[in-house]
Amino acid sequence: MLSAKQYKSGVKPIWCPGCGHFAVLNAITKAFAALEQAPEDAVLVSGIGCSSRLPAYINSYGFHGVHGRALPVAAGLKVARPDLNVIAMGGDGDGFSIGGNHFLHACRRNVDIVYIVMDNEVYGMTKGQASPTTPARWEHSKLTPHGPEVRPFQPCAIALASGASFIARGYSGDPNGLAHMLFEAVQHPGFAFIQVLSQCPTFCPEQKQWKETVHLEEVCTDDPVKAAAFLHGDDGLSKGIFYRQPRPTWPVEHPDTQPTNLRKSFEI
Amino acid sequence: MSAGADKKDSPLWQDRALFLAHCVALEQEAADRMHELAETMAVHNNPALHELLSSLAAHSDSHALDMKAICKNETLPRFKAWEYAWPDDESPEIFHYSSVHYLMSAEDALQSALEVEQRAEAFYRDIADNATNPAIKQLAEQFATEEREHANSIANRLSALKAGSQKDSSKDPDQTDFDPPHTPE
Amino acid sequence: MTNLTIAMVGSGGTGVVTAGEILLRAAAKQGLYGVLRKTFGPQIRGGESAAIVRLGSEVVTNLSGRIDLLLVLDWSNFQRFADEIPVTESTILIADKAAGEYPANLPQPQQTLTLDFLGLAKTLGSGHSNLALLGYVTGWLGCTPEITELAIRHRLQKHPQETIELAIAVALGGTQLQLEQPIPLKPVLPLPTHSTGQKNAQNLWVANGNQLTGLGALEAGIRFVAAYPITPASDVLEWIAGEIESVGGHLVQAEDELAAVNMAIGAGFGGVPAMTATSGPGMALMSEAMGLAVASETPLVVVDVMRGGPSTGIPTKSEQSDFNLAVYGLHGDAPHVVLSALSISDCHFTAGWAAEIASERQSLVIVLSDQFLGQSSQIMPPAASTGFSANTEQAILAQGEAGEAAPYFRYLDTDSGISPIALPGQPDGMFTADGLEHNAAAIPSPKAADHQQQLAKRLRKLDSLVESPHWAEVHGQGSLLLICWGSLYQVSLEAQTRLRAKGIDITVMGIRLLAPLPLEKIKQAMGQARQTLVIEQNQQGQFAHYLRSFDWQGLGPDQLSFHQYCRPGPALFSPVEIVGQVEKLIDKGMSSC
Repeated sequence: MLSAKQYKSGVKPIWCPGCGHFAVLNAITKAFAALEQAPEDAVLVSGIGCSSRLPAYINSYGFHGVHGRALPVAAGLKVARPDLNVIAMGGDGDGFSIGGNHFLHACRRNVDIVYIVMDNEVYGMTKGQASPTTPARWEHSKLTPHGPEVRPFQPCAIALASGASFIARGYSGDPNGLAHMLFEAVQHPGFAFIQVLSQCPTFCPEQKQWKETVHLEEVCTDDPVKAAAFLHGDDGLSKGIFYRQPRPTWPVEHPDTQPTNLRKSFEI
Repeated sequence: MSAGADKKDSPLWQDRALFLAHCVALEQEAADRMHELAETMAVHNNPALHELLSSLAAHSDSHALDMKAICKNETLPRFKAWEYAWPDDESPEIFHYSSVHYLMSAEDALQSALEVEQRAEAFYRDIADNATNPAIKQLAEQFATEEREHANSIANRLSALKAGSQKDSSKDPDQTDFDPPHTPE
Repeated sequence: MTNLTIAMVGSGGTGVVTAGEILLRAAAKQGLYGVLRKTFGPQIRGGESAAIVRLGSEVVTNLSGRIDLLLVLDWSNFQRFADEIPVTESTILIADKAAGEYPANLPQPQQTLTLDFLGLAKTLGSGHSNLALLGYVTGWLGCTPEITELAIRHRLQKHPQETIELAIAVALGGTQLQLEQPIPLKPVLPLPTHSTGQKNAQNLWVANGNQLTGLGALEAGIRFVAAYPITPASDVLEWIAGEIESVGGHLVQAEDELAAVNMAIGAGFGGVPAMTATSGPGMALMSEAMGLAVASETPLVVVDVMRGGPSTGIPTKSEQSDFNLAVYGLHGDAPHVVLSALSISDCHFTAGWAAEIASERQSLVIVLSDQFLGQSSQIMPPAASTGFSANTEQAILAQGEAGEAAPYFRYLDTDSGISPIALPGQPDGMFTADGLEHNAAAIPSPKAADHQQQLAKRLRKLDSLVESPHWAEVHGQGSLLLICWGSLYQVSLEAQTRLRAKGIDITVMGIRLLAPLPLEKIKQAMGQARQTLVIEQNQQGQFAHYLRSFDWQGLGPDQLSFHQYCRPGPALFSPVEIVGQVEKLIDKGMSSC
């Protein structure tokens, strides 16, 4: 049985001091310790961004792909190798902007993987542009000097509408709580989505306020209507497991498929 | 998630092995977090903060060793990270991520470190006041006192730093960032 | 070789394409060989359509560029087929009474017959004039009624019994009509006798290139396919979808091409040989991920069934204009393998070879096929077993090979350039695959030495492919070397035969391995000829341009340059066209370049 620390690869993270992603890294190691996860049987799949660097910091297999495409890589891997524990991850830009389409379909398909989005409401790696979850009046990006002036994306609500069967929100100021969510998410049979409010101290120092404003709402309902009502009324700063309703996973196995002669259909 | 909100039922007041397990975890997590933060300062090329946090981490290491020595003949229960009965989300002696910034000054760091020790002291003090198990009560008193000493030592360092800095402490420290963020990817 | 080409044209749902499919099958059962090309208007259904069937007593692989017999049920929108169905005075024309007015600008065939196929069908209680037409033709060919019936039963097997019986009755009515009002042309094919035909037919297949691509892939061990539909590649995916589960694999339909290619990469990373198939527009979308496969050294096969470009282009027609995209289309220095299938049956071989290379070299292999190869059905002998296998065991890290003492370096620099690969699930082999440049230990690195080492390794690991005997098919020996690739190969072989009949010998080289290019072998062949002609089906000669870009030291001035003949689709190349180009060059003499 490994301790949480033993799941770290020893590669020094590039993240800024105070970055919330450290909490997520720690939470993953704590969850793996609790799950007694064999390191060689886990694969962390990421896209591009600060948070997508995470796989290299954990002593399991990893795949650092291209921007926005962690979910399809993870899905292909899980379908081909259902024996593995596959965890996809990335940031809010990677997951909800360029990766938005894949997010919808991943929630809909219900492949048995976990998806962690480290949401700091900014594109950190490329120097602080607004992302789909940036508040409408955030004026600190040169690309959108008046602020995005667009309503932020509501990831949990969209996950629910798209069919995700496990929806939770964590917070980098509560790594233990997040570890617990991950522990549950890995064991959930189906697609488990966890949005993590993960502070970017460099570009969003105002997110320090999350320490005071994030509040626990352990809704944990299996009723999508209740979940929808909650999520649409939510201030975006609740943490907890909100919705959880297992449903058949994908792909569906067809055990009655008989082996055939591949060449038969060509014979005249 | 914290499980110790309900004061009446805290298992920390009754179960010695459980209490000690918390003490070990508290010190170890404090040390781990401090090392992690010290490392980030090294990666981000802030040698002053790296050194400061490393020295604090070294103290945490020795406290953790001391705690483990106290418990060396005990069989302690193991917990998953979220099963600890901390009063807040994280263990009391932990340096919160939200108090860290790459431009933070040594003063900021020591101030936060002081608060960390004070939270630890308050944690042990609360157990000492409420424990029903005399062994726990005694240990908790001892640990609270030690945390008070740690806090004092940091407070002294902080005062010395403030005095020696020759700065007018009513003025804000220079926040000019001579190494603003760039684009690695 | 004696052969003839029959075109059947109709629209508004007359079903000539169905008739063409049945005709091909009947011909196959009779022991004939042939190729069927279907051509459609843009409507989902009911638009103008044509079936062009070339039949012969030996294997037929391509169309001849002429139409011997034209059967028309409906003349509307015939102009759309002008390129593909060249009507000349020597074309024998059989038109249905209901076909409408003969198009004004078409040459007048010398022999015409007007028959009432629709009326015949109606007297038997059906509206399907195409079946009457079908029976008319099969009867003329000498197919027995039993064979016509079997072919119809096969094509309509999912239809209700009454429909099938009625169809047979109408077809046999057409056969009867042929006896009364025969086509003014004796079939020039020495038809096999009934018994010989049946004997041949027992071992024949009817297959199109897309299906054969799927077969080649599965037989070589591909077990994960991600799919996004696009004309004309969807058939590859649909055929695989029907078969892959029975061999324990999975096909998943993705939300877009970006997802499809990344899913295949995920599966490949997991050690399961993976593939996707698309056409030009999809290839363009996939280029980022293809680069990821190269940089992370993840095995991946991408099939491009080329269609008319650029952009949305001409989706239902064939062209060879994705060469540049396949060879040059990845950003950065990203060496990878590009293969081209040289015939309908070669789709099976090339797909299998691609799967093996991808796995063995941990790289991207692009297979260029095209709409003609992919969607034309051919009567052929069964595809030979290739023995290709996407077997990664060779390169896999041995258990226990890495550990504390010798940490595993996923991107270890080796002589061959191929690093032993650890698959997820293997203890001590953990690493993070990366599109970021990295060092041998798989740690991201911006250092010059690491970048150079990894670039060199990824290039070097493909080097020895040029030694493979499969790099090309070279046929014949002559004073002119004709270089081509893809679907032009078989047409070139026919041109070669026609030239020989005129006393002109050429060498035909169909290149299967386009990248890395076996330059020395090409140079050698060029050195043995007096002239070289490169032909391809795109506007500016993409392959010719690529060939010209290499280092030509060692060849004399006569061979240093080569001629090129290139033109875009949608019209297919014909043997006569190629013969004409060769004759032009030979007439010009040896000294002109």
